[in-house]
Amino acid sequence: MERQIYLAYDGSINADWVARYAIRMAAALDRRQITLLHILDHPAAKARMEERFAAIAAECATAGIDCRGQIRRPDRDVCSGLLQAIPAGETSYCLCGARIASRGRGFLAGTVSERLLRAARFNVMAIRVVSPGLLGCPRTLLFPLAGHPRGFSSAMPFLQMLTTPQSTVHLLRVMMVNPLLSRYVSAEIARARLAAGREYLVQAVSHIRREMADAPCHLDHHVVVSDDWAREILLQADRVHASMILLGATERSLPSRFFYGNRLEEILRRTPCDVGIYRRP
Amino acid sequence: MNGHPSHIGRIPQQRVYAFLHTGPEGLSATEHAERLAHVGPNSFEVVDRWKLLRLLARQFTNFFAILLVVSAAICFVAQRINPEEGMGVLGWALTGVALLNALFSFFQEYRAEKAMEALRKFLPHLVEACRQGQIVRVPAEDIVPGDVAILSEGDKIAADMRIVEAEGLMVDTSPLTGESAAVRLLPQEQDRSLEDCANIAFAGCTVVKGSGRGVVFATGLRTRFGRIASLSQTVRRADSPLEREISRMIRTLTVIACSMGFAFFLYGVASGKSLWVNLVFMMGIIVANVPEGLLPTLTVALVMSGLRMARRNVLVTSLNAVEALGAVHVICTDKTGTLTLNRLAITRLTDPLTGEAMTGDQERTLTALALGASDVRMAGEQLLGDPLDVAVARHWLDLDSDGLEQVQGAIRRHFPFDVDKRRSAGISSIDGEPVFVVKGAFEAIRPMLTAVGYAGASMPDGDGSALEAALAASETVMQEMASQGLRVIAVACRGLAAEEADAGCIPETEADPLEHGLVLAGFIGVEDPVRLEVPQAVAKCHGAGIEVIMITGDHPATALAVAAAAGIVEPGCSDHLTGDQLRQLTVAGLVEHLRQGIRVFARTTPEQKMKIVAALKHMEMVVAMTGDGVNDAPALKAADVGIAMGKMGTDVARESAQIILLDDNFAHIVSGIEEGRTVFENMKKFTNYVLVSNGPEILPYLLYIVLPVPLALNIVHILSIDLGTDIVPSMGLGREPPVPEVMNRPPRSPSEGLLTTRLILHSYGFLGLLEGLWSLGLFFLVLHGGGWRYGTDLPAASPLYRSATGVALASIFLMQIGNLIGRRSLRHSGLDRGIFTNRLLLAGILIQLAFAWGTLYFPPLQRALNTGPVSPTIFALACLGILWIYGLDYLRKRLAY
Repeated sequence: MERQIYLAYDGSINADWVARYAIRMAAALDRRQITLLHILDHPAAKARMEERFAAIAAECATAGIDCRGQIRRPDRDVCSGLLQAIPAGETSYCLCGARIASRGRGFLAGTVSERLLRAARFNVMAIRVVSPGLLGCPRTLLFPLAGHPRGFSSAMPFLQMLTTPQSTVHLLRVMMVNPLLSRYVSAEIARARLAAGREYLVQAVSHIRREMADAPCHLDHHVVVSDDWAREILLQADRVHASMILLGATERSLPSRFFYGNRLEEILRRTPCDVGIYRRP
Repeated sequence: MNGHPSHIGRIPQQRVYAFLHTGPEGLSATEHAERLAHVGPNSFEVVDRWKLLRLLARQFTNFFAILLVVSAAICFVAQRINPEEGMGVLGWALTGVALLNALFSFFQEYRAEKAMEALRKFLPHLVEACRQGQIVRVPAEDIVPGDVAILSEGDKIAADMRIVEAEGLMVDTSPLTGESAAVRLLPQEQDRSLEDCANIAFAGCTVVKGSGRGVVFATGLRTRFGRIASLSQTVRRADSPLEREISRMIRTLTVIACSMGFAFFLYGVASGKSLWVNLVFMMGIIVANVPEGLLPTLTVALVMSGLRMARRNVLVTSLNAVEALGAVHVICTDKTGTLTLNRLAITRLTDPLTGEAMTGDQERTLTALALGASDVRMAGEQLLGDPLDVAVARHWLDLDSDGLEQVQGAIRRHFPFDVDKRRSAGISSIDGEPVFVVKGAFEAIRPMLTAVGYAGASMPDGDGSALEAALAASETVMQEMASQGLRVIAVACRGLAAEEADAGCIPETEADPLEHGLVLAGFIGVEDPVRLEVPQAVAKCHGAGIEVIMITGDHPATALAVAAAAGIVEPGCSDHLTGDQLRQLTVAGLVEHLRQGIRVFARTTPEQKMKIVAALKHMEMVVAMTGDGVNDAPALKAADVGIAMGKMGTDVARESAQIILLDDNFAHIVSGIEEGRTVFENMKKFTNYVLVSNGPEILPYLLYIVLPVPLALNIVHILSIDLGTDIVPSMGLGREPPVPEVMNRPPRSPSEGLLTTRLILHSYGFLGLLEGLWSLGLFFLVLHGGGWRYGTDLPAASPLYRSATGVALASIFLMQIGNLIGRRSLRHSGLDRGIFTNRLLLAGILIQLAFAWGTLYFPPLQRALNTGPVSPTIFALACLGILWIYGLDYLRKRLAY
């Protein structure tokens, strides 16, 4: 089965920005095709939506990509409509947007994108675009790894679609220390933690190089010891001038993450570059 | 990615509107309203109404504040138990100290918030936009993606926009890039990165000339400027080494105090004493163990050092930076203005083939040609423009004091300096003939050359090998000039046909079509002298185990020559890395180069500083980094010590840095390091000093709880030492001047703390014990002489008890003088530096003497402290305590060192 890109499109300017990621990712696939999905929650919007679809199709055409649009009536709500429309499984890739402005509600919490991520029925990437001028072509990616064995393997398809030989991928490992003890971590302990992090990343780099042997990109890695991984990701994104942060949403149940502290929201709020939060089925 | 542009700057001008879903007539009112509702206003501010309150609350969550508040609470409890002792006043005093400390830290952090205000100054209030075909002035906050903005001279740019029309549009990008030269913006698509595209106008920049039209693609925090602002605003700097060290010290002291207090509380309960009595003693032991005055003294010491540094033109904006500067292992410095004087002067004009210095007519012609590619304005007596252009004009004035206007009048068109091309150009008339002139880096001009020689020279047609040989000779000349530390500017030209000259003079044409068939006319050697004091300062750094790394945008040969002149590298050293090489390296690869001794980075961009900082931190080094532009702000924050330039720096860089170098002089960084190292040494001295008095404060409580004897010191006495007489002497130790050897030692290890086991043993186990023994000895001597018998009770109001506690307290005051003098030097006597060289120290000694006397003989103090007089013999014995402490400590030093 060939991989297929689906774009959950709501007709907003933010969705147009996310659409450029979809075009970019579709161009990296053998099946150069995008399916635009709009769940019609207002009948009067259909004509306008068709007009928008046409604009995206024109952009796709210049990139040699086949663009198909589907406007569907909601079954129960927008999310269930999308879940019905996108085939479940490893070969479906759904792109959707985070809120463009938080307005006190967060960027992902309570959105259709969050529900799609939680459903884990197919590959999902929720994107917050803060650099619309990049047109969905991030050249420098920051890829934080939490140390889980599945951590970087689950991101590989997204990495392959987003990188070119000109891209640079910075792997980041934040070695966590308890916030209450962080001030008291001795230099020796910090050194040992850094060494452990580096060892992990060296393995990750060689794994990624093997996986991306066909289209290698420039890889670099960084390790920091900190009591605040979200802050370190933001700082590192700035330090390496990342154009996109790729974050996995796999290791802990999403509801608990969204409920307790919600560091993903913190990154989405403060990010200096685009953020893609992905999850595999 | 066939046909899909990788960013907005690569889209052809005519497709920009379609890409941004708008049109030349602008957005309709409905579309604008919808986008505004969706995207939000074009503003940088992240509204967080609880932020300041949270910031203030956080100041009370560290051990620093908790300890003071707990001490105050203990006083209030003691006041409740025994109102006669007046503990409430001391409780309020401690609360005041805690509040002052917290507010001080709060204002330090609040200052960082002010960086936002500096950023806001870069944005306009109103902008001109085209909506529904009408040009309207709208608030900058109303701008949305898709809006068509009109740009005119003097306008501040409100959002990131793609230029679609331009007429001589020149933009000052210095707030973002630090580049002083204005950048020419054009509407054509360009094959560069988004940040470098000359068809993007970024928010925060200003139009200095011309006009244009742009389509907004990013607003608010999504602009390049907004992203920097957001990150600067929201990311908190990690704790400094000093903050961590103080936290660790306070934690250790708290653990000692609480475990000792609790152990004796349990002992008291087991031995059958009442709960209330045990509680009071537990609090007594805790208060005795806690050096209440130490934390304010640390702050005061940092403030005093900050003031001293300000006198040396080093302005400290964050107190912890004072000490952090003393711990640096490496200084990453700019070249221009920091190592050099930033006074460009042309010192040589050279024949490109022979390398011989030009004189007479040759010199005049080459200078006139260079002026043709320069843009200088006269403002009264002053010349304004790019520093290099000004240097060229000044050189012309040296040759011909009257003819500048005439040469400038002959300039028909100027093509400003292009950062990527590394050259500027112009069309001028030389002897009435139109000439196209290019001036810039030799590498940038070389591909366009077809001949080398004095202006007008030519190579035989088709003789490629002759040209190659001539170019090779020119390169040798250029390298030779660069190796002397000169910035080498190549000047090339060619005569233009009339129609070519006319076409080139049309405002929107670029220089590219004219850039061919050039003749290399000569080289101009520009010197920016190294500051006189720099070589000595660099040598001092090396002596202190501090590496100096130079990061510059200049040619490697020039950079190496300046680095050699400054003493950063050995003369003749050619080890360096360029920006291109740096781009290819991973951080681990860069670490390898740094370990191999790379100290010069040439042809770099400010963004690459971040990578160098990362590599140095990877090597566990404490890094000081200098910077001046807005794009330096993140690197300044990432470094352990960010140093902004006071003269050349932008407000944003200054707000992001912890240290501002008022005169941009490298030598003053070294003075700051000396001061920072001294501060740490002094902190160790007064920590040691303050902890010594804990010994005689704790011993009476231990004795009282295990033996049937009266209590020699009450809580008021303890606080009168900790928050009274110890403060000024501690401050005196904090003001000790640097010792010569402070810059002969390598930087301190990150694991070297303020509170070491050795220091604890010396404070509590040696001097503390000696003070305790002497003080208790006098206490029991007075009691015994007054008729007290072991095991009998003594009322607190009895004159005998008051005299005995008085002499116990007075002897501690006096012995602290011996301790104070001994603490001045780790190995020497402390008197060798002269007692009158530090007035604060002298004041501290006088205060100790006055309090010792007053405690025993001054009635108001007697009443406040519940003490009484003793005989002169006993007082003389108390005074002998000074020698007891000082002498035994000196003996220890002689034996140990």
